[in-house]
Parts: sequence; C-alpha cells; structure tokens
Amino acid sequence: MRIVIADDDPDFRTLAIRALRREFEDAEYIEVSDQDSLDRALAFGRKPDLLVSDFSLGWTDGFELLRAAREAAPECPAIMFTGTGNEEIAVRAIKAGFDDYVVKSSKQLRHLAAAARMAVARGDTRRSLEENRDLLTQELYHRLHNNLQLIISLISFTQRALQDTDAREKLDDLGRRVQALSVLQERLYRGRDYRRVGFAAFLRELVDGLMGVHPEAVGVSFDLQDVPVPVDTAVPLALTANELITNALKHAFKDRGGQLAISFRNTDDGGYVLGVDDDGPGSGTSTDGLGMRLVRRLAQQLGGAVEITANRPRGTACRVTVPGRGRVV
Amino acid sequence: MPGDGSGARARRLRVLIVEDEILIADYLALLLEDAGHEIAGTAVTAKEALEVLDGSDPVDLVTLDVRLPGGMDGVQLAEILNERSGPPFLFITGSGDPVHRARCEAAAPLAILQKPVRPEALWEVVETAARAQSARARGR
Repeated sequence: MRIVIADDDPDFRTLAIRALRREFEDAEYIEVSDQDSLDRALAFGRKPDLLVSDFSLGWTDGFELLRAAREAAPECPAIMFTGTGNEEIAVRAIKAGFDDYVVKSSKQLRHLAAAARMAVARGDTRRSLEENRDLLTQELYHRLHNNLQLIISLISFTQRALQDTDAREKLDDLGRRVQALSVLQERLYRGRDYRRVGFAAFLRELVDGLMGVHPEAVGVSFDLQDVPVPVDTAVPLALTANELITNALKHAFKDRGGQLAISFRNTDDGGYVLGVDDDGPGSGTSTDGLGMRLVRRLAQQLGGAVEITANRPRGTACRVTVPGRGRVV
Repeated sequence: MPGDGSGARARRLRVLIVEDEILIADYLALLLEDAGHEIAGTAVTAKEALEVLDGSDPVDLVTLDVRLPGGMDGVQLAEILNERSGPPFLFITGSGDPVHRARCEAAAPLAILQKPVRPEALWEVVETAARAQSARARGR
C-alpha cells in the first residue's frame, strides 16, 4: 500500500505518518513537499492508494494535488488534513471529492487513522462498484444483442413459413425495423456515452444496410452534420429514418435507379431536421401505408412535423423537423 | 438476394456453424443456404465443432460465436484452427466487450460481425471467402 502525505511542514508529515502507522503498519509512506517530490511519487504510473494532503501548500493547493492523484488512480481515497481550514474549505474539499476533512490538532490527530481507514474502505467500494457496473453493462449488452438476433431469426422463420407474398414482405419490413433499432443500440453502446448517440454515423450504417437489400443502381449522397442526439429523441428518429429511406428505395425508383439524398442537421433552436429526397418517378411514400403512419406518430411523439412535397421535375422530398428542447410546442 | 452475378462463379462452400443458441444457428444456416452454400454441420460447443472438423467431410469455412458453453470459447477454438491450418473463420458475436474484440482480432478472422447480423454483411464475407477459394482451386 502506498500512502502519499503532502504537507509543507516536515513535523506535520512526521506526525501524520506516526498516526497512520497505527492503522497501516506495513504501508509505504511517500512524503511530498514540492512539485519534484510529487512528480517522483506519481512517476512511472505509480498509483497512490491513499492521499493525505494539507489545504494550502506553498507551491500549490490540496485540490490540485487531488486532481493529480486521481489522474494517476481515479478511485484513490483522499483526506484533507489542514490547520488553515474553515467550514467553507471543508465543504469545498468534500465537493471536490475528498473523502474526509480532518483538522490539524493533537485531539484530531487520533481521528486521522480512523478517517483514513474509512476513506480506503470507501475507495474499495467505489472501485468494485465501477467494475460491477462494467460487467453488468457488458452482460446486458450481450443479452440484448443475442435476444435481438433471436427476434430477427424468429421473424425470418415465420416469414419463410408464409405463402402470401404481401405478408412475407410485411414481415421483411418488421425485420428491418428491428435491425434499425439494433444498429442504433450498437452505436449507443460503442459511443460509451449512454445518453447520446452520433446520428450521422448511424444514418450511414443504416443506409449501408438498406442499400444491400435494394441493389438496383441508386446513388446516395449524404449531407450530415455530426451532432450527438439524446437517446429518447434518437430512437423515434432512427425508426423514422428507416421508414423514409425504406419507402424511397422500395417505391420511388421503380427498378430504374436514381439519386437518394439524405440530410441531417441541427436547427437554430437546438432541434433537428432529417431530410430524405429522391428523384425517382414513383411516389417515395404511400400515404396510407403503415410506414407513413409510423412516421407521423413518431413525429407527434417528438413534438415535430412531417412535410412531404413533390420534387421538380420528379421525385419526393420528405422533411421531419424536431423542435429543440425548451421550446414551447 | 445474395451474389451480384459479376465475375467468375464462386464455388459453393461447406460451412460449419458454431453457435450455442440453436435457433440462431438455424437462422444462420438459412441465410447461408439462401446464398447457395451448404451446411457442413452446426455445433454448440468447441468440442462438438472439433469433432465435425475431424470427421471425413470437408469444411471450407467456420462461423464462430465467441461465448460458448463447455469451457472453451470461440476465440480459443479459432486459435486451434490457426495452429492446425484449419479452414478460415469469422466471428459472429453478441459481445461488445472491447477485450473480447481485441482477442477476436488477434486470431485474424475473415471478419467480426456483430449480432444481430445483417444478412448482406454475412453474404459479403462468405462470398469473398468463396471467391478466394475458387481462385486457389483454379491455381492448383
């Protein structure tokens, strides 16, 4: 165990070490009195197991020291041990992430060892929580993806058991919807920020997958702004994009090929606009179909609007506008 | 549908599917059959897979799940395949664990496909493998 003691006053360092030895007899004590000794203490990736630091050090302060120690060991327990403190500094210390605050006095010195033991126990708990959280996330991720694969497999079995072409096609659409959600889920997990997802990358991957189903000569152009979208907006928006792009690929080009333009950008109020434009002779949408009903319902959920206009000389332009948060709809 | 019809006709491959979820194995088998390939067998554990590989019927390609019951996982099985210069393989995994992924990459697979697998992505990997094996067969 490595305990870093940071204090300008060598006497207090000695007193602190003496107090801590009662609790941590075999620990290695590293005394820090200036930047050089701090650098040495944390050199070569050496991680402290406990930091005991004064508030005011001649060359820096305890908060900076905590930052340095936590950079080396993110879960490192830490105690502020100071004689110059007051209530305000104590509150600041706890808010900054110190586990405890002990006043330098002969009476309090006895409490230092107990406070240190508690801080180390809390550090251990933090570390194991962190590890458990990672394990749990990975387990859930694995289960989720396996189950999504099972769902897609079951849809495919059902589809293959059907004679009716129309029914088979509808199940194919259902499989694509589940796949679209899976792609989004994958992006969300890989981004490591479980609250937001990079929507531009999602759209590229989605289109890549859908193009493989419709191999006729359709060129795709993207005009995408790389903005992270909160997950509760991203899910309905992902399903919407899947419907609009699938619709265009199925109905717009009539096996003749053409151009599909996909755009996504932020609006001034912090909302989003998703655009799917085709130049095909067919209608890019069938207004009474399930796909368009989903698009309208999802837009409603987002408090947004769907706009479908004819492109000149031919084709269809679809715009889905989602207002920014905070705007009264 | 699979195959774009361009270039030389790639050969039909005999594929071994290693996957502990039997319904997922069945689905992968259907996808591979859609693309004109043949199923050499399906195995739930690495041990079963090795039995198929040691059998008399040839195996041209192996799809590997990473997490398998029975003590040996898909990556360990891949390492055995590499040691004995066995058939090429690809991973089809539900795991997003970066450590797993790094282990998979180190085994030099044809591809690592994430579950739920896109049929087109699977067809593309298998098609590329089939073309490579056809080219080698012609070269002999």
